[in-house]
Amino acid sequence: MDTTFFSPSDVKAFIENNSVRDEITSGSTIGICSVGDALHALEDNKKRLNPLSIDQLEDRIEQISECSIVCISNLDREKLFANLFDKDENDIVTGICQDSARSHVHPRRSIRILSLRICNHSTWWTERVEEEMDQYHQEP
Amino acid sequence: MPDLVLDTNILSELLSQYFVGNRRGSFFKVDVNGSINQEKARVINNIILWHESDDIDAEYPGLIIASSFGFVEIGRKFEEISHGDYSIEQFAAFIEQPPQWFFIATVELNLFHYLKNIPPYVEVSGRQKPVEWADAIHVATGMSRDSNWLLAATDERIKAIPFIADKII
Repeated sequence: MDTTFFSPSDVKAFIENNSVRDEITSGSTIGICSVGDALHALEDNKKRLNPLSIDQLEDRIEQISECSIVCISNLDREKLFANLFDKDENDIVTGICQDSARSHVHPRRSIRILSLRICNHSTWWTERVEEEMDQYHQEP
Repeated sequence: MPDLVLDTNILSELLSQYFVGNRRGSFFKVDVNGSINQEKARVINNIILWHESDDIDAEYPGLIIASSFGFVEIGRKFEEISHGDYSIEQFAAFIEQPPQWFFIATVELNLFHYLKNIPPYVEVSGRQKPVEWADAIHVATGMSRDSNWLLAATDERIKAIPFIADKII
């Protein structure tokens, strides 16, 4: 089973149009999504001219929770400690990780990096997910 | 007594006081300062005192809670927010092992079940202002608690949300 970065655009398409990339709906690939992007898309929809109803939004959430084709990665204390700080070879904190916490980038980008990057034994934080997320961050 | 959820401003003030080292005997206490007014200080200190004292017969006062997102916001502007009151290492140590009276709440999809009830706009000084999810997260964190809860907030838009008026200190 492959994994792919489920970008904010993917989240928006799913929330608004209930559409997901073919490789994900086929079951061959799982989409990996940051909780910040999911919550933002749901909240953003509330401010639209013709927002989805709360029932429709809850249906979307239920689909995400039950279908197992998109994994929403939360941000808990453990991930926060693991990813917010740079550490040396002895696991001693040496500073704030500049890639995940910089004032001139949007907070959602910080949450995306902090919630998606996990420790090495994760099976779904793959090279592909990391490359696709980095590529997304380089887009204008 | 209810849990007390802190927004990012109050969290940063608490951390500053915690590391500056205000101790009465062996217990940490916050002083009225900056964004922490008398009421906030009273509630915070009541929670800390119960957890740090041996008086287990007193009514359980709840926990002091902040969303993990609050710590992200501090991390993003660390120098500006910490004012040199504490080091990055101390900040990390607090996250790694918070005091027994403090809980770092997870940002998770389930929070939408509470965010959905927060209006997208509120009226502040006669003008409609958007409630951003980054601020609403603290409200949703409180609402997600099984126990009764209060919110120590400074943002005018959060304080303008009608149905939580009795939760704000």
